[in-house]
Amino acid sequence: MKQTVHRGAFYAEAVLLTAIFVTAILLLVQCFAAAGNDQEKAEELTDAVTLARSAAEAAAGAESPDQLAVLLTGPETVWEKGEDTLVSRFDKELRPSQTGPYRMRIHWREGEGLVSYDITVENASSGRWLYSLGTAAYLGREGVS
Amino acid sequence: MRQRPMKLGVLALLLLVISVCMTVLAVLAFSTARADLRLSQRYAETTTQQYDREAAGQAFLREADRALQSGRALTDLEGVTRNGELYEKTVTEGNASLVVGLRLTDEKSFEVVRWETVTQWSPREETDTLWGG
Repeated sequence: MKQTVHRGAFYAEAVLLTAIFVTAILLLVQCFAAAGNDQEKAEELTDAVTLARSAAEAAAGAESPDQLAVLLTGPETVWEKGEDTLVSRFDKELRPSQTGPYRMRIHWREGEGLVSYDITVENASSGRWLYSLGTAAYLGREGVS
Repeated sequence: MRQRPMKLGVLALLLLVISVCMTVLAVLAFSTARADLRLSQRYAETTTQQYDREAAGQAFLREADRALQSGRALTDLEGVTRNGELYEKTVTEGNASLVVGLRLTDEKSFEVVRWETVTQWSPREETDTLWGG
């Protein structure tokens, strides 16, 4: 009789302990998953800002929107060119790549010598927007230095 | 026959230690990831502001050029101040300002002589006193 009571108490304690431990582990797994998610978002955002910034700097130095692509990725360009848009993909090392996870879209408008650029970086596989940057360059006329 | 009582004490203690260690790791991982994300967002925000200022500065160059072409004075443009032979405009976005300085080379042309980002700094009114002496 006494042995049965002991065994029952042992099992109850073991089940309770296991339940608490499993709950704690589940909570911690969620916490680790949230941390991993935030880390991934931070990495993507930093990469997107760096890419957009490079494009903006190239835009500032380019004498025409066409020259922008060459300045950004060299003569062996991987850009899909539209009438007023350039699109390309970049890998995690931020090098041009046909299969890279980032897609950068540069759209420009020209008016009286001022070229305005809208640079958007998105996740290439999901199409999720990551970052947008607007800048402009005044190409001017002769006599302005 | 003497029966040894079954106890969970050691096992419970072990699980407790494991749980505490994993909780500490989880909290550290989570807070580090959050801090990284905040830093990235800050980087994105300051970059946006920086290029907004840049775009406003470039737009000012166009306005100045158009003004000179149409025979207007640069001081007629909004926010332009004259400092000797220098015409300056300050564009503020976020915690910093871009100061664009132009000098006329002739009646209808100018050169850019200043393109400077200045940060607005204001001293804290209260300082953290570590020791009153």
